[in-house]
Amino acid sequence: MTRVLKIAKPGFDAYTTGDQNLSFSSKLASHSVYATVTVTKTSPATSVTYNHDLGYIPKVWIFVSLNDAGGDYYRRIPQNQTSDKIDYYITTTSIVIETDSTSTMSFRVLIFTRSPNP
Amino acid sequence: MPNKLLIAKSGKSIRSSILDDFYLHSDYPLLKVHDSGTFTTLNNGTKTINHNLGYRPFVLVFSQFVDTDGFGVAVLTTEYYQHDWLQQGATINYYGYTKIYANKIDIVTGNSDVTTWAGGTKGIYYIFKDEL
Repeated sequence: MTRVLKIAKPGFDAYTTGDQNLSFSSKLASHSVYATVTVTKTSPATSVTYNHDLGYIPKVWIFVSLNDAGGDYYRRIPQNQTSDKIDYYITTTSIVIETDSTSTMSFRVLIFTRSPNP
Repeated sequence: MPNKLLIAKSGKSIRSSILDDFYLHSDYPLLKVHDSGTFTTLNNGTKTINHNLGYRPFVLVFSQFVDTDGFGVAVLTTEYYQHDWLQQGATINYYGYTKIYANKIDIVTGNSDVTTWAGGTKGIYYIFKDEL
C-alpha cells in the first residue's frame, strides 16, 4: 500500500476531506522555490543569459526592476509595451532574457523546483 | 546544523542529495499566500491594493483581455490573461500591467482609444508572503 502524507486545513479531517481542503498532500504535485536570483543586463547588450544547469526546463517567473515617483517596483515580464519590449526563453541549461533596449536592466528570476510527479 | 523537514518519495532515501527524490524539502519553500481577491479596474487608470509587507513580494495578477471588434471599438472578453497585455493598432492602444512596490501593488489598465469599455476590467490577484 502506498502511504500518503496529508496536512488538512483547519477545520477539516485529513482522512475524509477533499484535496481542495488540504494544505499539503504527497499525492499532489507542488512547486517549491528552487532559487531567486538577480540577473543584470549591461549596456549596450540587448540580451542576458543566466545558466541554471538543471538539465530540464524549469518553470520560472521573471520580473524587471524599475522605478518611478512611487519608488522602486517590479513588473513581471514578458512585456510588450512600445519601445520597451522584454521577453525570455528557457532551455535545459539557461534562461535568456531579450529586450529591444540597450540600457542596463536588472531582473529578478524566480526558478521553481520540478513537479515531483508522485 | 539547521533543522530540516524532509518528505522523501517512496523508496528514496531521506539522505538523498537529489531534489527530485523529495515531495517536500524545507530548504525550498512553498509560496505562501498573503492576500488574494478580485478587483475591477478603471478602463483607463490604476487600481491600488495595499499589502504593507515592507518589501516587494511575489505577485500574480490576471485580468480580462480587451479585444477589438475589428472597427476600433473595445470589447471586453471573458478571457483572463496575465495582467501584462497589449492591444495596439492604428487607432487603439489598450494595455494592462502591474507594478509591485514595497507596500502596495498598482494594477494599471490603459486605453487611449476614443471609445471605452463600460464598467472597467475585472481580474484576480495573489500576493504572496515571499520576498521577490
